[in-house]
Amino acid sequence: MSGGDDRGAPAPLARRDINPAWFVGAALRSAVRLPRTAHGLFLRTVINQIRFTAVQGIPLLVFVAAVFGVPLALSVAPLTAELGVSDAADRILVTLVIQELGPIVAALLVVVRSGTAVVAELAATRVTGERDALEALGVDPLQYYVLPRIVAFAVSVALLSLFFDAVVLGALSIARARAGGGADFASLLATSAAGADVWLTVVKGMLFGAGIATFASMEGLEAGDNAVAIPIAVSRGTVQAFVWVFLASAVLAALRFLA
Amino acid sequence: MIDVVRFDDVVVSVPGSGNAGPWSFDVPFGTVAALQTAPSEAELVARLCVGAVEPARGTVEVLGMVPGELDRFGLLALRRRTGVAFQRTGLVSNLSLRDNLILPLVFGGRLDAGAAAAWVDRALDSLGLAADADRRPSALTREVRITAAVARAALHGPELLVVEHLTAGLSPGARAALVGWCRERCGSMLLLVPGPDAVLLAHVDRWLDPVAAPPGGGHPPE
Repeated sequence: MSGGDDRGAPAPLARRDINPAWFVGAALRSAVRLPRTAHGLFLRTVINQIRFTAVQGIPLLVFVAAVFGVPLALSVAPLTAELGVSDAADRILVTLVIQELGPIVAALLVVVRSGTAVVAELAATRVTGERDALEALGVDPLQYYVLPRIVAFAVSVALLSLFFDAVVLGALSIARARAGGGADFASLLATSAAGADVWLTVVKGMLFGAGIATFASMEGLEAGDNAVAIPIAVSRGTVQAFVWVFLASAVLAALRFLA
Repeated sequence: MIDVVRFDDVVVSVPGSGNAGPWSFDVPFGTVAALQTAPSEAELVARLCVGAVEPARGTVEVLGMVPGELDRFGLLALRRRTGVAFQRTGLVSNLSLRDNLILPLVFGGRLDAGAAAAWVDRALDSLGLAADADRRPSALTREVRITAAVARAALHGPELLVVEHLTAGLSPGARAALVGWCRERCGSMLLLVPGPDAVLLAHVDRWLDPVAAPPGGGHPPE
């Protein structure tokens, strides 16, 4: 709806200040009430968003994974072999990559590449009057704009985390094979892949992704109805998503330590 | 007769500009009413009808409910019984014209996607927009976008359709056809217009005096 500062009340149709707790609660209530008739369109939006976020993000992820993996392969592996601590170093590297680096790097790339886009897109829907027009027709913006992105980001970050792990650990495997320890490293990888480590990557990726989409959507929906509000919302949403990734990672690490 | 909309001495606070209003009028069920407003006030009246703006003074009743007293889902439910077409159309930019019309039907829980698509295709055909069905809003003419926005608001047969100054952007023939098309589908209509219009007057039952509507309703000006 339109706008400008000279039209009506300053609040959007939601008519209330949004905070994270209210937003998550409202999103959950909206999820429960998603009409069955909307499932097809909802799924189509999720798939499109996964295509934008995960599939189209793969080239950048491969680049970043290579930047991580190649130096590790070229410098750390020979060094640990020379020191005679290859086995211990391998275990540390595999654990570090699968449990920590994979989800965090994938999440940060999604924040930068897709989180910003979601904030800008949702903020723009207010400026153009698109969102208010839909709300006025009884379309719940949380059901149409937010929930598909939460689901898609959760899936995307989990997939990209696994992809990152595969590229980095693949590079390390090649380096170890060239140094003569390929069988041991392959065995270590097989153990990790079959164990809880990979599931932890998936769970962390989904948690990070859902949080990124939540903060990005919240800031996008809360943006004002003029063009100046868009960059402000993008900046706020990006910072919040960044903080979310590191905070959630720290909390999960602490929980695992205490468990 | 039951009123679908009743404004009683409604005033809205506009930041930086003071107050807008007061408006007092009612629209009985089954009628098409026209309310002359300034362009900057038309959107306020439309937003008041769906609870998007709360009055600073006075009472707004829509379909027997006070929008400001409803919670989020109550408000959504009320809005699914009404239809609003804003001047800025608000068509979703990354959806085709067909999908724009399907979206409120499926997210409103009215029809599944297949039935909604068939319903929309019939509507687009009857409005002469079938050739534009797969185009996105940016590829459409202003006239098509206006027609589509009104059709989107009227397609589900709302008990009340509010149209904000949109018909002024159409040719007289298209304006008459669109209002007639909506009248077949909607219980009542509130047309917010910039001024008396011979084409619209032929379709309007009541010309509302925004300040004090007489009990029997107003009449189109001579």
